[in-house]
Amino acid sequence: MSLIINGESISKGICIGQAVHIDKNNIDYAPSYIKKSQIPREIEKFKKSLTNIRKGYEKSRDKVKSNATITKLMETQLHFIEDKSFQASITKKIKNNLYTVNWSIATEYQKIEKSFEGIEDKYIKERLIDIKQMVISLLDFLRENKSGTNLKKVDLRNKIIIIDEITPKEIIDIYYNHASGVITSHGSKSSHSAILSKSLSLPMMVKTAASNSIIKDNDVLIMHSENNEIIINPDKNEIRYFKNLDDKNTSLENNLKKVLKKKSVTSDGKIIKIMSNIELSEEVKFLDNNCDGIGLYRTEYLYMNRSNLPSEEEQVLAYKKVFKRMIKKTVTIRTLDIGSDKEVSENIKAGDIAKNPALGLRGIRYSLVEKNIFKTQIKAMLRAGYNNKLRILIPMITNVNEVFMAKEIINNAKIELKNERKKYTEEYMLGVMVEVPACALQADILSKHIDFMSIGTNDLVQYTLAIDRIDDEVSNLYDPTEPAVLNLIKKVIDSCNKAEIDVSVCGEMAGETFYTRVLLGLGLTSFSMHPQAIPEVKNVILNSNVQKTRKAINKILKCDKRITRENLIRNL
Amino acid sequence: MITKSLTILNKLGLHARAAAKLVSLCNEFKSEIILVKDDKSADARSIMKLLILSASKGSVLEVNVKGKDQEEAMRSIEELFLNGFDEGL
Repeated sequence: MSLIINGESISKGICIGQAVHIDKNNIDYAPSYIKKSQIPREIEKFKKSLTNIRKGYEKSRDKVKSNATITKLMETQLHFIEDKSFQASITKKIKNNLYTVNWSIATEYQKIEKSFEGIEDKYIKERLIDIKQMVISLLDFLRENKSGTNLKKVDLRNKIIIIDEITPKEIIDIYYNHASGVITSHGSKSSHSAILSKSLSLPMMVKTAASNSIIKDNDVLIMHSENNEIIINPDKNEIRYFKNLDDKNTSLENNLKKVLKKKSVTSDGKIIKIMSNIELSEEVKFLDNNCDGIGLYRTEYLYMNRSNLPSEEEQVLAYKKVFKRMIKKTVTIRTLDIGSDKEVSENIKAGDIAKNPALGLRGIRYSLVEKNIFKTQIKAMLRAGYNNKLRILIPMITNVNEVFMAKEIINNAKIELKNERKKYTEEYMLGVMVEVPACALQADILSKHIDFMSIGTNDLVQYTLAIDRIDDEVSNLYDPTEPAVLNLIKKVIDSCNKAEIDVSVCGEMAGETFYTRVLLGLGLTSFSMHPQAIPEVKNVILNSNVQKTRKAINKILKCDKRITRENLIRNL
Repeated sequence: MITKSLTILNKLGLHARAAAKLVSLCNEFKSEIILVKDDKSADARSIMKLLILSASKGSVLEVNVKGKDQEEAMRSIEELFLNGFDEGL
């Protein structure tokens, strides 16, 4: 008999593959001893590993010398590696107990981990991660297996990855190694890893609490997303059944693809714009040419997975790649939005990890501190936008003043480009991302100073309702149809319509068919979503009557009870 | 040996960067420098031991300095504490 466990699906369809566990916290605690004569050699090995790791740290520090905060961060890392009391403990274990250097480090780490358990200050406690990283690096080096758990170098064809939690960087790594799918015991549907895997069509299931202990390496798995189920070691009949179902899904998908060719007009004749969200310039290759441009190009991934910053030239190339595929179509590029749950290379962080990153230095706030990073990106956008339809989108705007300050930097970027005699566009549009409630409330004033708005519903919902969408304890309370949220969205759409500027929704709400008619009812005429969602959403749009939804929306805006509200929405 | 009780004044407490600063400072002296908080003690030259003290804002640490340059070392350490490790208070 096969075994079934549950999770939450990110993707659609069926995925069959073989399980492979990726244990990121790879410290081997198995005892191992040396002979007395081997002591000097063992100590030498330890010193060598320290030197190697230190050099690595110094190298990354020197790469970013211009940035004082990063340098300081690396200096702290160096202090860990140079910790005399840590070194003395290891040497003592080798000399007195005849432990191998590997086991000495492992047991010393165990001791440190125990001591950290008693620490109450969350902020200090988190530094254990740095120590652990260092210990893992040391052990990897000593194992003469420098790749360690580096996902980059493993062939993952037909494999389904089983992991506690996965970072966006790791998603990219496993994607490029042809993994069939990924199952995480924690995580959330709206994390950036999930968004990324969705846009890459990489099957993913999260919150499968028991996956780590129940699933063994090499088990055959079927990920059945519709039922949110994972079938472990299915029998022949089950495999046959699901392969059949998979084929049927594929033909259904092909039917939906026909929808793509149709003009995007509602049943009562209203033209609706449908744009794509992308994360990587590479993604644009897979885009259907029937979409109305790029509504959100998240640029964080240019900054990830590396120890230095992307140069202006490199960014120009990446942005041009997108324009090349989107001839005569609008491409909306969002400026760097790091912080919160977006993991960017640790070298590009403003200061230490904030206590509450969602409310911390992120989006435009970061850009106004690290003005040069921002200016370099703007210059690259303006250059790539030459003879193209460029829209610059600024994230996390809270007030008008931030727009003014951003404009000043954009002007400086233009002056520099002029002096450098480089070609750039003057005919771009500048817009803001509406994520902070303060911004939504000020929409009428903001609309006078910018050319378009894009509503980032994920953050707008979480900030309006004060709900952390990654916190398992409250994530069930995260509801984009709360009247407070819908009224804010309506206010933004109304303000933009009055000012006659473009407004779109680019959050998850735009890509889920459940909300399509709600947004139409609120007066939205422009959607931007991950490409995989387009066929289904477009299908709903083609079969919607805007007049009807507009009439029905008022009742929903006033409905406090979630169940009633959801029923009203289903009947739209 | 000289001993003094010093209070952590900066907002973030004796976190990684502040501890790193203290380590660097202590490395300039020859004296033995030990910090004590409750039942835990730490060599002021070990960033890991300092973190394990878990000294958040408002904590009082007993600083013990012993050696030829103990006076000067204590003065510098006290100054660093009073400046809140050159961070926000």
